[in-house]
Amino acid sequence: MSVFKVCLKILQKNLPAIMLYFIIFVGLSIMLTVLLRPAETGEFGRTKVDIAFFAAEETPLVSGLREALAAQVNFVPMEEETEKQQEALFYRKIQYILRVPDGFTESFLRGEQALLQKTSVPDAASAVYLDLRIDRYLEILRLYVKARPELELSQQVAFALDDLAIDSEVVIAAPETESGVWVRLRYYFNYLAFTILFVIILAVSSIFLTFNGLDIKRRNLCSPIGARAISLQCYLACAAFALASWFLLVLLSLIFGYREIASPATWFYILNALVFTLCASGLAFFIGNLTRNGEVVNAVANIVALGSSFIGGVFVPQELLGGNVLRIASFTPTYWYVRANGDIAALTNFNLQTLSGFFAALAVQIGFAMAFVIVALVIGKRRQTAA
Amino acid sequence: MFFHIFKYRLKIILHDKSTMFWTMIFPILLASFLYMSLGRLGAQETFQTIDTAVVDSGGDEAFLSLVQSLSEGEERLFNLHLTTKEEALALLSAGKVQGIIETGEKMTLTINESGIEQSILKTFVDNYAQTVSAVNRIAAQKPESLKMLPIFLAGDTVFLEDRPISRAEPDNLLIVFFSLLAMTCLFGGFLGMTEINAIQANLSGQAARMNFAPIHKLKLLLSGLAAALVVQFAKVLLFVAYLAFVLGIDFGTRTGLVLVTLLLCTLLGISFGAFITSLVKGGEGLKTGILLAVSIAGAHLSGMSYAALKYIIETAAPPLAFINPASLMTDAFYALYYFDTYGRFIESVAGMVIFTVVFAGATYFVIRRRKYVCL
Repeated sequence: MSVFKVCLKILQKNLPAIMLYFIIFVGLSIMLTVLLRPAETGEFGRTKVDIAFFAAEETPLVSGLREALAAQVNFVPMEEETEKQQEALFYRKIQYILRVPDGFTESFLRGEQALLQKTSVPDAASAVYLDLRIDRYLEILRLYVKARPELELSQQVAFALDDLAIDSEVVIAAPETESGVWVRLRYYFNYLAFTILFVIILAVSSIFLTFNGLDIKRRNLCSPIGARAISLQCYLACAAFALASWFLLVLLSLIFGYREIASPATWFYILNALVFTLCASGLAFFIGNLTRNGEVVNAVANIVALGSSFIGGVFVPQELLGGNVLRIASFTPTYWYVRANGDIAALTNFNLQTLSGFFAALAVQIGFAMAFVIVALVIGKRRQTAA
Repeated sequence: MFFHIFKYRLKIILHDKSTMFWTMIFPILLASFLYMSLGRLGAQETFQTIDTAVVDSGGDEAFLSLVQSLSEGEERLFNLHLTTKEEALALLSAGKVQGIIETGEKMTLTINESGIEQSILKTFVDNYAQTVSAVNRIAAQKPESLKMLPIFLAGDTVFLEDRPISRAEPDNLLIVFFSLLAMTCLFGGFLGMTEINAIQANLSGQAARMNFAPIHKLKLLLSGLAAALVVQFAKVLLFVAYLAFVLGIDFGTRTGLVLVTLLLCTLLGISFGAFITSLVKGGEGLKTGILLAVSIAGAHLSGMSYAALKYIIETAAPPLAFINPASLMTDAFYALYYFDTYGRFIESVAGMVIFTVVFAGATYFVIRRRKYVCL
């Protein structure tokens, strides 16, 4: 096992740089996982839109409008400064600005055309949502103004608000959505793909960069150890490093999500991560065989890890990616890894039938791993003849 | 002599494949990945016609005709599926419709999850019930006005007018690409680093030789930096062209000022690299590390991964935004794109000019008249 030992020595030498990446990425993924709030399901929650409300007059109509909107909006205090409002709208601190111009109530009551001024993100669903409510309040109020003109405005507003308080029944059909508890772990495991890919490619390639140096290669070829044994021991060392990284990341996940250890989902996540790790080491093995230039490896590690993570759904959920992007992504193992995680997150009971999608994704990853290793061995063989 | 050195520095820079990759190919790839994965995020916010199933069990003609009228035309609210309860439930669980409206004594809405579409559906169903309630109340309180109701109800229903707040659309995804551009400009620091390495005798053998030549150090520095500026500016322009014409990133209408800003950003990036290289004592690894850390962390803090982070920092800790060159750059492009006034733009540009002058000045004072006891 002399080759194996040398490989570990090379890894040890490169450990500080690798650890640096490792710590940064893990820190980042934990931060992102904590920041993400899982969507609550089971009960209908009305969407609340953040709005800025400016009224140039205070009348019962205006206070009624505020009350009518209260169920659907959060009123965000905002200064009367165009640039501040523009900026808040740009970053969606507010999504809607509503202005009641001076004299609105009077012209409304007289039956003239009266317009409120709104500013929204163009074509936004949130604007449609609020427009519906505002229009309805003013329509019903106008009905009372016309049908019961003898009443005080405040009484008319009170009637309108009373009607607007009617709430129709909402039924949640099938709570077959994400079960909330293990959703957070899903995000942690999704980010893990990036860390694993980057770190393993970097580490594994460092071994190959050393071994593929022409002089060292020639020296090794005339040693009594066969070429196959050298390759095998190299791969063993890579696998050992990969498994160590996997173990460390899983350990962190268990510390971090200790409440979910009992759930079978956790263990399926871990299994998926293991298969992905093997796949990543196969990929790294392939890249390491591809080049002798350290800078190229660094570039490739960045492109492969970042690229497949972006289009495979690590940073942005797959549901939000376009069909074409996903089709391209399905040629990367990352896509299948993230997809398998998604399958698990969506499950409430685990049996062979519900898990079939998950196992199919695992099989694809194993296929990728084998393909990478085979291609790498072929390239390695050619290189050897060239040496 | 100036042009002689300039020419050779140009050749050297152009042959440096690794720097070429990180300062040009990598940003283009990253922009493509970002575009592919974030491109549809904006569409998520846009209103899309809601697929709705209606199960008619009560024979509420008025409601049906209302729903039907809202399901016609270009700007319709719903894509209507009039079906039976079983089929509607199947459609809902298959995700083909977002909600089921059941007419009857009391209208019910059946959904699978909470969201803006479901909220709109709910508001719509509520609206109908609310109008019915208002009509019933008036009928009970004042039966004689009942025959006038159709006239009262038929009035003009436009109560809102659109008042766009800016000429440009508030598309905050742009911040991601602006900050990526800022990072690319700061990566130009690698070229500044190469130039200093080439003329400081303690940093490379080539530089030691150069210092023997009977040529003023300033001329040496300027010709090198000029070559770096030409190459880096060309790369930045290429990157911006890729962003604008291939990915369709909108830089607004003030093209001339955008170009001036780009030049300023390039200068800032190069002088930043020169500054780090001349000031920091240590190996090249350390200098590269500092350069990378400041550019990447700076770009993230100015919104490369999460656009609103820039706003959060600006409102919570303004000094942090002002000492971050990436944030100043991003802000300048953002101001040019979004605001009608120039105040904000001038502020950011002033910050960039201060940074450039400080970096360049400090570099000059560090590298001039250096003497070495031994090399």
